[in-house]
Amino acid sequence: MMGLFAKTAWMLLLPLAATPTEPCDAGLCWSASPMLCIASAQGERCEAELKVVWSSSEPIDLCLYLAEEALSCWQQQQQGQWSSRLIWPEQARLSLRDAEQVFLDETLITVSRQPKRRRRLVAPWSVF
Amino acid sequence: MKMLQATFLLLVSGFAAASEARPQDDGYVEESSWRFSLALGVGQSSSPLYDAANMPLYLLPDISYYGKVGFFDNGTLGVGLDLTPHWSVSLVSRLNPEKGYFYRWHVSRIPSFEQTFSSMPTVSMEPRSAPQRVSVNEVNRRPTAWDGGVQLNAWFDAWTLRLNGWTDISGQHHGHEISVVAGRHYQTSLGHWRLSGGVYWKSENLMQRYYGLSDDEPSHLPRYQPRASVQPELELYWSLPLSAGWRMMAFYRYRWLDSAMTRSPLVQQSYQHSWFIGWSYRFF
Repeated sequence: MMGLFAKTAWMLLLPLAATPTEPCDAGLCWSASPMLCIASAQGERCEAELKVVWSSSEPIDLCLYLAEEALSCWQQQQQGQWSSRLIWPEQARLSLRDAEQVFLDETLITVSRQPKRRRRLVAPWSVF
Repeated sequence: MKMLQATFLLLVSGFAAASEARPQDDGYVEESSWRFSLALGVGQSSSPLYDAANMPLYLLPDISYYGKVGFFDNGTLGVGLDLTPHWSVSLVSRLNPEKGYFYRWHVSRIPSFEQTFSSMPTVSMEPRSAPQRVSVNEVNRRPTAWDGGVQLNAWFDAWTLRLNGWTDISGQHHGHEISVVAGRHYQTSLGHWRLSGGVYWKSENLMQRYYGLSDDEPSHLPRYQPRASVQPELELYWSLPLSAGWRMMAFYRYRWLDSAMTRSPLVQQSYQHSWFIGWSYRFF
């Protein structure tokens, strides 16, 4: 299992915010990082730990979604934290929201360090 | 002779420079990016026809672009689909190469080239005896034709296989060509080698348009109606990486021309060959 991931996961840690104090919207502050996972080659799976932290000035009901699938929900909390190691999606929406309002809405993406390669179909210099 | 000596010295200097591990020629290209190399050296592509100039090879471009599906590779334009990791099929088009033998320029008549060429021990320059010779300068111009077709590529370890079926889509000769080429790659301390052998079949219509002599030719010329032609070919290609961009490279290609071709009064030699030795530099 270790070997499976050994060549795939290159992490670029680009936190959107260093602390849950920003960005803040309607009294709720959050951070999510990283937003980007860098695979060693295009098409290879990328694994990384995603961490989301939020805090609110008032107790609130919230759910965290990735690709419209709930990762975690909180009831009447003023702060929350969620982290897990994920197989990173190629591209998926990450959102933190209650029934009425979306507080966090970002996109997780996987990029590759090397461009995709394909077989050459004509032998080089063969035209001469 | 001096040219051969200089070439040998350049080869030796190339080996000396290639003492470190260098990138290998693995047959892959980056998707969605252009690739351009130039090779500088000496070489020649022969024409088997009477009074047609051999083409000197000094500066050879190698340009290709492979997108997700479409590709352009040195004059071949196509769209390809990988069927499995080992097989791919493509729709391809190209300029038919047959007219290349009918060049009437004379820049290749450079003494040093002819001397170099004739001094090669393995190649006979004796003209084939023909009942009547007809110069390319005497016959009507041959057409520039555009081919379309299907290409099948296969890769198995160090082996490659390429099958092509071409047909004239420009209405110039209404002919066809089928070819199968198998190659074997070798990666050694002396560089990358590729030995390949193939067979080319050319239809009667194609042969007639280029090597036949029909009633629309000048009346004093003989008439010739060729049948379909089968032409085996062998090629040896070598490249030695010197740095990230520079390589030494050489190739030799020999094609046997069968009697459908050699009986044509236009045809002087029973073979066509190309050779080149020099350096290539990859710009991107």
